[in-house]
Amino acid sequence: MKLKKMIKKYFTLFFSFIILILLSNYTYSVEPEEFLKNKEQETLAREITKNIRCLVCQNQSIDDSDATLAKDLRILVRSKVKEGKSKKEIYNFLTARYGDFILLNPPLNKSTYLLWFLPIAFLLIGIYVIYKFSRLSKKL
Amino acid sequence: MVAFLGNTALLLASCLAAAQLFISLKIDKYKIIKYHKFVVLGLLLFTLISFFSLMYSHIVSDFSIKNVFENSHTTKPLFYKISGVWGNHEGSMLLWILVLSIFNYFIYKLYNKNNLIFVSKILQNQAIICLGFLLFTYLTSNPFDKTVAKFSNGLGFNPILQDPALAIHPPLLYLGYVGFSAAFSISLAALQLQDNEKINWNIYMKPFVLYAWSFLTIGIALGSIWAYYELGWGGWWFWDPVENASFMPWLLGTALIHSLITLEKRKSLESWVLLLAILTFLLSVIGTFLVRSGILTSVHTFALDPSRGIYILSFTALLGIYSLALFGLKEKNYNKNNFFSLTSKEGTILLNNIIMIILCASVFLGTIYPLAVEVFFKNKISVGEPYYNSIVLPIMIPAIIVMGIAPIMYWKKDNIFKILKKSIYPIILTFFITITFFYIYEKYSLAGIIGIILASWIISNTLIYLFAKIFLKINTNYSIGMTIAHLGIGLLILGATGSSVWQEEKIIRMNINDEIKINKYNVTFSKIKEISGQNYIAIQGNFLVQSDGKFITNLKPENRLYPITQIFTSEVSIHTNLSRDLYLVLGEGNSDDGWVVRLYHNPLVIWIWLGSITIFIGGLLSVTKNKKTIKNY
Repeated sequence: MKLKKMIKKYFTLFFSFIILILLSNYTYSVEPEEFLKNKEQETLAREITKNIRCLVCQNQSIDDSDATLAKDLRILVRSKVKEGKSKKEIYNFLTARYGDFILLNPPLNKSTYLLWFLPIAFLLIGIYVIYKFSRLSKKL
Repeated sequence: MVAFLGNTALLLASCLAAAQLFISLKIDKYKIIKYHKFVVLGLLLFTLISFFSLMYSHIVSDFSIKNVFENSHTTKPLFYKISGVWGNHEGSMLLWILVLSIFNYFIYKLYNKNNLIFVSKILQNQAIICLGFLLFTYLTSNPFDKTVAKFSNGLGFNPILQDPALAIHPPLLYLGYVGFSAAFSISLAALQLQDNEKINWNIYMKPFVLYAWSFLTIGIALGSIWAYYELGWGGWWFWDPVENASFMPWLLGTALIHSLITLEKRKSLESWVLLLAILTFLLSVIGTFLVRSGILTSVHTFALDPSRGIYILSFTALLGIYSLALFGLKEKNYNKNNFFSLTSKEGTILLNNIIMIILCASVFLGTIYPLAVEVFFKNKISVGEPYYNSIVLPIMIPAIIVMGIAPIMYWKKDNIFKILKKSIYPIILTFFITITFFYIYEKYSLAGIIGIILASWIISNTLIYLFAKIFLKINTNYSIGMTIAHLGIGLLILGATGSSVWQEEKIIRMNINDEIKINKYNVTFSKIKEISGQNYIAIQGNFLVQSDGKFITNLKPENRLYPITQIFTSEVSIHTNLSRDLYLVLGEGNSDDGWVVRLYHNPLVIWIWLGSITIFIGGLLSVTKNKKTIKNY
């Protein structure tokens, strides 16, 4: 009985050791050490990282992602913020390196005109239909 | 052996679907019920056999079948072995077919001596859909394909999919998607009728649409709940293409339900409803194509194995051309409208429909745009959450404002001043509810103010309507099912707004006995230990939560390792009550440096789920009422 308990105890110890080793290699989304001391800069950095796509994940921002690449990018963005770079400068830097794909909020340019303006066109068509209809129904 | 049985049953089911199509086209209308009874029941029987053969193979871990080998594992709990049947592409297509043939059977049950031609035409269209999906599954995604097993335990299963909510999410979602197939078939059948065969087809369509829409709602909500507690990001909706694929048919389904009411009460918008029913199902199929073909993740993965994608795309194109051409040719038989004023119930429903269409078109645009840019500009872009939040959410506002008063408006023509006069109590109530929420949560933002006002507006109106109808027994022109569903929407908006604008977040590194305060709660990290589950090992933290010295709960987040697939997952620990969720995620760490802890105070989250359930109940109440209409017809 005692032996059984002992085996169980050692097994548990060994077991936890393995888990800890395995889990320590695993990184998670934004970590407290990455945060900037300056509160304003941190808020800006957070806002930026939430709009940066994690390139190796599916539809995740680097702020949410646990990938190593995402962590590197978070640190990169924060160092840029610390240097005093503006949001726009950082976006430009990142898109020059990785392309527009990296921004979750697509920038307005030749290839995205339709994306941004079509919904407005849909809305105008909708308003037109209602206007047309109200003219029709007034005649009643 | 069982695989052979399942495969044969699948083939026989395809033959029966073809027979059903043939019978509808060729057989004399007085004999048709007898023939249809045979094929419809046969089709249902064989899809059931096929489905349960696959389920049996998963349960006994028959690894000679490729599908079981790749997606199952001997150590998986029984419940997840069963849900694993539809947790993969091939099996989920088989489930889709099973649901299709169940709906096919319900359509057959509509037969009576007055609607022979009409129902046989519905079955004819349904047979085309069944046949299309059966052949797709049999030829390109056969779940009974054999393999030579290399490992004796199977390749396992993604542990983040090993979850009760996600296990029942696909069946509910499919009841929604596939339910719209009935609306599609009914719409086509109505268009195929000769002038002298006309029938009140909308009465037949409405229960199917209500069923489909209710199940789609609860299916989407379950997926959302899963994302909320499994992904561990504190959010519950991410505008992921997969989510959009289910949200688009939901939007059109919403439009369809409302215009069906107009058609029923006022004989207006008939051709519009026919078109909408066609589009809703086409969009469900397109959604399946987008999700299943892998084209959204990358054009290249699609190009590697295009056979499935090309099949679904051609099938969708075929269905689209056939249905829209039929609509174009026959629509003029149905475009007689009774005119109505814009300030009338029909007017508000027209507005609802226009807005739902704009929303759906915008979501569609956002979902496929990256694909279009890649093809035409050779450039890659992302369309993420910020785009949808800035484009889609504002468009919803007018629909929600009108939704509050629409149910009490008169058909045909109403007076705007009279409506305002009737809304005086809801306006006062809205005012008080809004003030109360901001008094409690204290944080102001534009989005928050708009969201809470809209939510309170819907909730006040619906509560007053319900009170008037149930307690004062006032005779009204609105139904209880509708009012309850609307109340659900109000609650959902409340939860969605509260959880996003008032969310508080703390990310810190904690050691044992460290304490942190979030909102009014003191959270103490009391211990950490190792545990093991049926097919995983984990470390589990224990966090004591107190408020003003009073014990609230112990939060126990876990970091799991599934040794079979070498996958790590983070199990969030959540304490829920009616006013907020405490949401805790354990991150990386060790006993020297401490552990990273992410703690969220998410106000009102539970109202998102309660709201969805309320919508579901409202929808089902309406089904019961509308099913009676068919019987009495």
